[in-house]
Amino acid sequence: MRDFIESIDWSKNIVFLLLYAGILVACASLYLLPVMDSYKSAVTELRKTDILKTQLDSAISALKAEQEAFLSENAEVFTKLQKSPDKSEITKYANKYLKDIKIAESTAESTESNITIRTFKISGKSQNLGKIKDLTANISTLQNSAKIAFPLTIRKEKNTLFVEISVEVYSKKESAQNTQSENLMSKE
Amino acid sequence: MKYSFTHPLPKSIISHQTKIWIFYIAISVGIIYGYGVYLDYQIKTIKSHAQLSNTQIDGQDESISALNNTLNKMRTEIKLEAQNLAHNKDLSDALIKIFDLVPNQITINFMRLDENSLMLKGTTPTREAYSFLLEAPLRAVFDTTRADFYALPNGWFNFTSISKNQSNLGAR
Repeated sequence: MRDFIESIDWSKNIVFLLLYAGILVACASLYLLPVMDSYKSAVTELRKTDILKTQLDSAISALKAEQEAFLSENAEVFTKLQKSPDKSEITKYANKYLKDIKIAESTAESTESNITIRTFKISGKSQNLGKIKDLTANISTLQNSAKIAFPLTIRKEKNTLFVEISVEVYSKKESAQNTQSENLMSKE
Repeated sequence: MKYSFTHPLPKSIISHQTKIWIFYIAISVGIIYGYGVYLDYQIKTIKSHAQLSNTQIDGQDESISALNNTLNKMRTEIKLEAQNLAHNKDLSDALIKIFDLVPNQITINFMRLDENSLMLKGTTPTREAYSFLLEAPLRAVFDTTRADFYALPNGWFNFTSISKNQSNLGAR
């Protein structure tokens, strides 16, 4: 043992120790630390991405919930808008209040929000003002989204009232209707 | 012929202690390099995950945009229907108000209701009757009212009245 200890060349070992430490420091600073930095930044980026993804997921869920709420709360409105205007139905409605009715489709125009407005001009006779009041008051009972358009003309000859009234019927265009139908169906 | 009792030992160029140092240095460098390779592999895996997540985020952005568009359309439709309902109610109320305005002494033969105006044609026994019984209430509803009279052989008057408003009738 004593021989072994005496045989150690301490100056050489100290040089080796310094060399060893130098190599370790060089490896760590020139190779390992940059790799660790890259790893840390990659992990941070992934976390940020995950957080953003989670936030977007919750935003999508909230929007879907809002859409479903809209669909269920306003199902009647969307159903009305999906229906194409039916002249026979408008005739049937007008017949309840007027006699000898004539219905003519005058114009059709489209809005920016994919809604087509078709205007039907209704003319007919009535015996009293009450029927005309009811005609305007009950227009929302139509199965379409409808609006009474101006002008509204009433002319009296003898004891008969001649009425001319325009009704604007709102409906969605075909492509928009399909999307809405899909939404309603998917909800069902 | 032997001059020594001990056997000669093999003498290496590199001493035993030097070998030990070289061994430890190699092991240490190997461990550092191995850890670096492991980290590199992890970085690649993380980056591929992040790329996948980014692709999903792009898809989510598109979904959000589509959902927002749909919601905006739905809001527009709901608003439109509400406006239509309000308009129909306003018009119906306005019509009732107009019918109520006309007194028994005056006969209306023609009525045209526009968005901002009302035209009435009819007969009145006197100008004063029209002025007190119909024009006064019309002035309460409309901003301007103007009437033209034509005398009839029986002493009554035919009149044409045009009343105008700055705002819609339903707002009154």
